[in-house]
Amino acid sequence: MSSYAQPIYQGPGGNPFMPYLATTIEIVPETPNIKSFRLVINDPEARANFHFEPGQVAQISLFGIGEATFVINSSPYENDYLQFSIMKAGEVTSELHELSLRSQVGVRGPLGNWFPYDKMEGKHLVFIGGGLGLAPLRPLISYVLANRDRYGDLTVIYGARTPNDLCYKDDLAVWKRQGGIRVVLAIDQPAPGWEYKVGFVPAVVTEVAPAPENAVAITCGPPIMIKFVLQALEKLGFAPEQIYTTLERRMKCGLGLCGRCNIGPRYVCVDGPVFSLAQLKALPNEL
Amino acid sequence: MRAISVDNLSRWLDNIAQGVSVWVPQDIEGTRLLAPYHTGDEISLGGPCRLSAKEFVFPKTEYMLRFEYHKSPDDPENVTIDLKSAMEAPRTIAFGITPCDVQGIKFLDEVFAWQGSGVESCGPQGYQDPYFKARRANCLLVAVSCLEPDNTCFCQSMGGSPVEAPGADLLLTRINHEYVIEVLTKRGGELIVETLCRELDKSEADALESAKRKAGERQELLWGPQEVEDLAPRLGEAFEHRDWKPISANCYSCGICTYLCPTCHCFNIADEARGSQGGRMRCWDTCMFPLYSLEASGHNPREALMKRYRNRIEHKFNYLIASKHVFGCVGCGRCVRHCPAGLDLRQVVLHFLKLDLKEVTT
Repeated sequence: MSSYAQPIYQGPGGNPFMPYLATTIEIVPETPNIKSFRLVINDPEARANFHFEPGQVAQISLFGIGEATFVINSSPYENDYLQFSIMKAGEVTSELHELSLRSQVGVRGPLGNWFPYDKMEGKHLVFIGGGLGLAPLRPLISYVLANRDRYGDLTVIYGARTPNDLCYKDDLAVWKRQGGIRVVLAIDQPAPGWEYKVGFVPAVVTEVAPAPENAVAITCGPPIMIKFVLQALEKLGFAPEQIYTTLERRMKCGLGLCGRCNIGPRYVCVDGPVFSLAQLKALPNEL
Repeated sequence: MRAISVDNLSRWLDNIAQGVSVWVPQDIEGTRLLAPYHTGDEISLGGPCRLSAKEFVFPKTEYMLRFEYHKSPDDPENVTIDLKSAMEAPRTIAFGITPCDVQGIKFLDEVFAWQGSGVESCGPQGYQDPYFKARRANCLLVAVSCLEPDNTCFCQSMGGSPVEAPGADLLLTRINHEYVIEVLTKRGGELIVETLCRELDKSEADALESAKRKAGERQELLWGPQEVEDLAPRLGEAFEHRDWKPISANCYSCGICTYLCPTCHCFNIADEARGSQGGRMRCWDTCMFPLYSLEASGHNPREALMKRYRNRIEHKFNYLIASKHVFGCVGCGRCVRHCPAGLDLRQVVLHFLKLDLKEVTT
């Protein structure tokens, strides 16, 4: 993976606004309003040349409806398909949820930057996700597990509103079973049969209290959760350089041209979506 | 150097309009607008049009791609899609645009045909816009000097000039009953029709210089070139300043400043389909609308009017200095002339240039 120094999107005919056509080969329901779509790019050459890094995104489009940005959340080692987990929220996502197998969609990607997994080598990693915020962390966790000996202790703190809202239940079960990674699950309110933690993710982070020494924390979730997780981590002694997050913004082009996803002079689509807290602190406070 | 008589202009336009779409400023129901030239059209040169010339290289709406769904008659579940680029690059001459509009198009080069130039922002490699580049390559710019700048013009304060047009192909300057023609590029030179022009002698060239100098002196400088260097860092420091609220309070959020602006370049991308076929198009968008940054989750980082207004000013005078080393303003004055709320960009800039930043900021 790291041999591809700049996975940027060239597009058919060198036009990065043009997508490649892809086919849905599997649709996995994750929660009542989230589905994971597994896509295969139709053109064999484009498929073979599609290399992405953990944390990168792509634009998925339905022709006649529109385009939206999603993180690629298949493992970088799963070469059979690209996976995107999509919550039914707006116009494009609602139509995507109506798709059946063998549907045709457009894919533009990979776009954006990625988690600096090379800089994280030798460190203890704490992954903190809320709801669908586990999606961007999933390819990174897959990468780290596949290169387990290069990393220290691994902890996943993952919360959702209810047990039904937890994504990637299969992964969670495998991670819990195989060991080598500590999994802490939480839901917002008590629920019958729930045997793990109850509470909001930032509070669970404070309770679990991962040690900041030689550690890196990576977090993603709703903006309000990210805000309080960052505060909780700083209270635990994590320096801004030890904290990474990946941001969501309304995007159109994904190429740093259309304007809307800026935070100060940076565009989330090309300068992000991954930022360290140190980088964010240097930008205007406009999350 | 050559000159062409005002009486010969329409003959010249007839000549260069062979197989090329030529747009010239025309008085359309009391408003000066760039419009396609047809033989016999009355033209209205000298001074800015209501809309900038950016639409030649960045149209209000353009198709990016077209698609068509095909259903297999034997297996209706088997749907395929034909996809093709809708890129167009018509040969166009924008004739009679102002030097500030030329500057505006040069600015768009920095955004859409960005070369990198060691700036860290814009990702691992700056993406270029092939649609813009195709149009830009086929668009010639014929500028006309502004000898009597409007009192809302401030191009010189933004480092430009009303009488110089680097980046244009030709520059025309009116002297008495003639336009003096300065050839700025080879392809500009190819537009010259020798039989319609005459050669100027040395003393006439001096008259051109003096006319240009006088035009420059007619426009007062709002701030010095040294002073404006401080603008980006000052705006960075003043991001949380309490004055943003009163400054933006009168804004209607109508977005007219962004549509008229020669450097504003935000766009939306949307699909349109009828039956089994359709297209994906882009159209001008505006950061002044709350929907612009509204996310599907309902979260909006710039929902408040103050935040939207602040972002527009910070983008033009601070962020673009950080990312591209240029200001996103050429001083054309359109936003000042046409703001329905009477907001004056010049006053906003002056306010932050003069503000005592040591005061309480929030």
